[in-house]
Amino acid sequence: MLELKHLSKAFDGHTVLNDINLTILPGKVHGLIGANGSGKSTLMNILNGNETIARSGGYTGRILLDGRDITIQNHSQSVACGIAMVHQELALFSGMTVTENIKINREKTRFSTLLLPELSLLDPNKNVRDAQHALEAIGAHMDPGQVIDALSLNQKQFVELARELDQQNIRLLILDEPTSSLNITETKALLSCIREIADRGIAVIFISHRLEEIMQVCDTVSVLRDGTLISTYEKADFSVGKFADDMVGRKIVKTQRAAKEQKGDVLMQLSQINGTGLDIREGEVLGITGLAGQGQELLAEGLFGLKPASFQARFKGEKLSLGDNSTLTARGIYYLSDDRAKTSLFRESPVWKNMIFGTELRHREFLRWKACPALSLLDRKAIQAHAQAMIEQLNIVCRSPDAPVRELSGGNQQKVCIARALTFAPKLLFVNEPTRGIDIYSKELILDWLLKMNERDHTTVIITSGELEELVRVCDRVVVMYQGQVFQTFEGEMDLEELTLSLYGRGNA
Amino acid sequence: MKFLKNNLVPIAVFLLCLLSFHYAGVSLSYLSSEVYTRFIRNTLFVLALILPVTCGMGINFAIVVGAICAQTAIVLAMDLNLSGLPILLFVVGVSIALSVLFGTLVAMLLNRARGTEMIVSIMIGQLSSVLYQFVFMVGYGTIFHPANEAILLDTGVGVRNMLDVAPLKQVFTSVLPFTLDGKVYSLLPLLIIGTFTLILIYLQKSKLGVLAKAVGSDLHNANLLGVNSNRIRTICIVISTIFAAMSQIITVSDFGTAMVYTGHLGIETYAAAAILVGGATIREAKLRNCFLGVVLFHTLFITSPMAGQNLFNNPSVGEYFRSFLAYGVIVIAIIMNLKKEKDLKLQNFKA
Amino acid sequence: MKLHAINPPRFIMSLYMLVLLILAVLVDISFVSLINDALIKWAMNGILVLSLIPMMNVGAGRNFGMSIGLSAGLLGMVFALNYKMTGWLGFSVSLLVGAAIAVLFGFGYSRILNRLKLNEEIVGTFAGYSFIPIMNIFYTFVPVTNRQMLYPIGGQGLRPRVNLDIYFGGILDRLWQIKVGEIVIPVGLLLFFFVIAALLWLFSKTRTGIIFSAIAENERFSSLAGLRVNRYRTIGIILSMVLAAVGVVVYSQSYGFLHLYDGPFMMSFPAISAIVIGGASQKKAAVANALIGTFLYQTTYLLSIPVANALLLPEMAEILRTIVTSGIILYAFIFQRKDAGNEVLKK
Repeated sequence: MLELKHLSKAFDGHTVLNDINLTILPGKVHGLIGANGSGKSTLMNILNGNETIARSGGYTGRILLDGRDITIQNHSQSVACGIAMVHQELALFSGMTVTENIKINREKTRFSTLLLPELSLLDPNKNVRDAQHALEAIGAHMDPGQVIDALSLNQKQFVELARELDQQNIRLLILDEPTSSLNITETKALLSCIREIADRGIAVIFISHRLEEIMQVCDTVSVLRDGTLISTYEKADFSVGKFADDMVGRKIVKTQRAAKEQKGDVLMQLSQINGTGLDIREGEVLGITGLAGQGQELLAEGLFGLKPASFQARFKGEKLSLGDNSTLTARGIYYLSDDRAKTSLFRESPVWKNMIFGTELRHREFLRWKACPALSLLDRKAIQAHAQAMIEQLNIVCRSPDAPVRELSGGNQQKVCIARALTFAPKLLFVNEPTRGIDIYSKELILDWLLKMNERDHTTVIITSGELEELVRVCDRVVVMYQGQVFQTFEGEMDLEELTLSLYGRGNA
Repeated sequence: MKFLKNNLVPIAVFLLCLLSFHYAGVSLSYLSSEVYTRFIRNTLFVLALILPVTCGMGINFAIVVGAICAQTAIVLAMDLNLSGLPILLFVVGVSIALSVLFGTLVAMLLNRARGTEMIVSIMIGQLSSVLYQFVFMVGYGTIFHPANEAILLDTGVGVRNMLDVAPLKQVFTSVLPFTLDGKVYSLLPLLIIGTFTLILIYLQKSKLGVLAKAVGSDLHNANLLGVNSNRIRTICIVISTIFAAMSQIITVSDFGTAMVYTGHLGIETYAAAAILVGGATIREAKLRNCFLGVVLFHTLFITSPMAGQNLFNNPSVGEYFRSFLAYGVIVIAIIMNLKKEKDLKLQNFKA
Repeated sequence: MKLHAINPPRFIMSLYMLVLLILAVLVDISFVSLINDALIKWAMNGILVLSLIPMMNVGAGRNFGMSIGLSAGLLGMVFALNYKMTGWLGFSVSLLVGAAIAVLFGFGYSRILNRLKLNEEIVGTFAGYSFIPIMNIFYTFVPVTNRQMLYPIGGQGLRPRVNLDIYFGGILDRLWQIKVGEIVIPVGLLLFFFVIAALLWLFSKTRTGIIFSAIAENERFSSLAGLRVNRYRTIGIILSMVLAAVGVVVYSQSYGFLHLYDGPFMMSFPAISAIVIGGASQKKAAVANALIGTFLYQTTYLLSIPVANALLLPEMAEILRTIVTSGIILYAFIFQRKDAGNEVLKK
């Protein structure tokens, strides 16, 4: 029914989808799996007519519907082709009823006004009936007059499904991680519903990180890795081992570090992470990983109050309150986030300010009037010298220390962030995705510096990342998070395949 | 208990009204006649605020633009020496046309100012108010030459501040007159208010009503689902402007004199205060908030100076108090709204 | 925004000033008195415009609630006048008492604004508006003993305007005047103005000043770096309020009257308009922006008065001024978009 031929997509010259050929059949559930950043969501965004695709130059290759060439440039074209998508984050309107949500922008009216179609009077009975039909078709039973806020997450998911299926002549339904926030019974209900939808002759693309679900509900499974379609399996050939191999690829990764002889004392103790706990040892390099949305970033972000969290943290036995950043900073705990623009750089400010900001009290030499830091002018000479030294050490490409950071490339921006961390000289450093979105040379350099900080300055480094190879290479220990819990800890020789399976919740926890 | 918590503002103001009425020492019939006058003059302004609140733009302080459109139409009608039914049709027709035009302009500006609509609408109101004054104070007699010289000042430049609109008033008083507290009132304004209330109810039950609610609930999602949110917001602002224009026509006809330069000033603050006193928030406003709010706010408005006189021997205290209430209730509404949103976010996190 | 960059508001205002200047030459007005007035108006209003800077730079928005700080200054003067303090004593006591009250008001105001991040401007507008009737009630009942300040009849309540001539009216204006031909340069007044400007400039270079601009640029990062953001915001808000109080005392001594009641009602808009004309953006305001902006704003207004009179349309000057004020502020809201990456920390 739907065929993709030689489909490719690049963002700013960086290829994210490479020559994808895929056939989707009516009445079948087609599973799509792959690690973070493998190109799944880009593929789905193309099919859904997401505006980011058109804005970044569109895609290349052909999309065929029933053998006819079609182009999808915006959302309404996608809808016209009968493609519907249920997003991971629900797009429902709070404060409105189930019917209103299902029939949004497709309301039935009693009569329609010529000049302004918006002014036509609604036909409540017809709309309620339609909503009821749509809900019954997927086996959901609820009062369509209910306000959406009163529903459970599961019911909301059904409303979202019903809204998409209420569209005229729907041919293809895309489900992006529909089960990620559901419990077991809810998931079961949803999966059987997906099966029913497919049995009505609708093609379904099902994206999930939970391999059991994939095995259970899909007829065909395709694996994406680094923007390339690696393999497609029919039901008879399904095997978790094959899936994992294809997702990671057979690569040999050497551990870069000799295992540490002795283990340090516990530096920080995290407990009540949904019933589990994690000890961070002094002087180690600890990797934390997990699939998207499994709670791995939440540890650092929760600690620094960026997101609400409910775990407990003790630093050298002292209880820390989450989000009390000035205490955390005073104890020498430092967080380097992956969202550079939002949380780790002053984009409009010069390089030197980004390097030394907030470290003045640890480096009195930056201040002219040391007796009164608050009202002291900065010692530009000392700062310039420091910034220049950092630029040379880290090989940062920039006009001068006075250039605004936004002029720098992503890799150099990240180096500026590292320079600030170096200036700060933390006791405990949390880094989130340190190598995301930067070039290969900067990647190596940044990893080297993280290790150098660990060895030279005895900084304990916690790296949160989805890049398994990198973690295996640089870390003493790797912790896998699954469904908000500490799932498994790997130490010493780590097997990538085992690690990958662990990401999907398989393995001996 | 929950009822009390959700209706804290109206209940508190109601108690204040009782106190103020008690100390003012006026008769109930006097109060009701005064409140009736203010009710017919202000209700449509308050109703004009509902749709912009529904579609998430907060309180539209730019309803002044609607009042200006109506005043322009009235000055033009006086210039053309109209009377009888033609004057009513002319004034209503021209002010609707102008409201559509200027309302669209206002909406274009507000659509560029997402997140700061309220303060931008204040500035739009101020700017259009002075531009309007400029046209009639300086433009008339120099660039525009009216057919009816009598509306000009003696210097020959600028329209008089006070224009007698007897022809318009006559149209109103001739329809269904009745007497209250010794004064003769017309039922026509009440009929107009009733008609526009029905129109508003219709709009709320139309496609526009649902889409406006969706845009107000989550603009991003609405766009994602193919709702043209800018268009919806524009329609809401235009309708709001038309409502305000109608209200100004009623006010001027009821008063009998058009205050060309000052008649439109301050209406937006009183309307905003009234709807918030009636229990609306900057995210949600219902019809009953409007009617309740108008009655409560204006009861306090009328009685507080007299209560101030009787209690403190100083009428201005009451005046100060009521303007404090008018502005303060807006601050309180914003604070409460933010608190509510924060709670909601926390709830979502827990769920 | 770089200082030397031509921004549309400043360009339009310069053009407008040029047109007015040509018209002024045509109607043959006295340029000597114009220059004298312009210098005084510049310094007289300049401190009020400077008072916006700390709040803008700490990311708390343009201070639409300036009337709260102004009220503090007015209270300072009411205090000094009540004890019939004249001359320098009266002036300095007004400044000190006004500043002290402004610290109190500013602290309270910051408690509100710190809860309402990103909504400071709309809340400030109405907080400022609603503060005026509160002050009016205070002016009505304050037990003042100086009869010259009270209503002549009844003896209760301060009168709306108190003449400052016998107290400290024009005390700064007259200090160290230098005459160059017919032009009188009010050196004392200008010096006072420039010293405050210089202090503010110096402050922006200190560690605290740099932290201010950092918070405005990226509040989330600043908080991650361990700064107590709300504390710095409080300092910024209090500083703005104190400067507003000082500004209104200087303004009043030039004006010659203590203008109570609705006096401060509309004073924030011209000041905000002036700093936007000077080239300030919502979160970045330099002292130079305030100096240039005030000069352009006040001088165009001064020029427009004789021009309007010559055209026999005296109301025009005030109307044009209001058009400029609200037009420029509207411009700032609609065309100066907020910097990206500056969402409020949500806990």
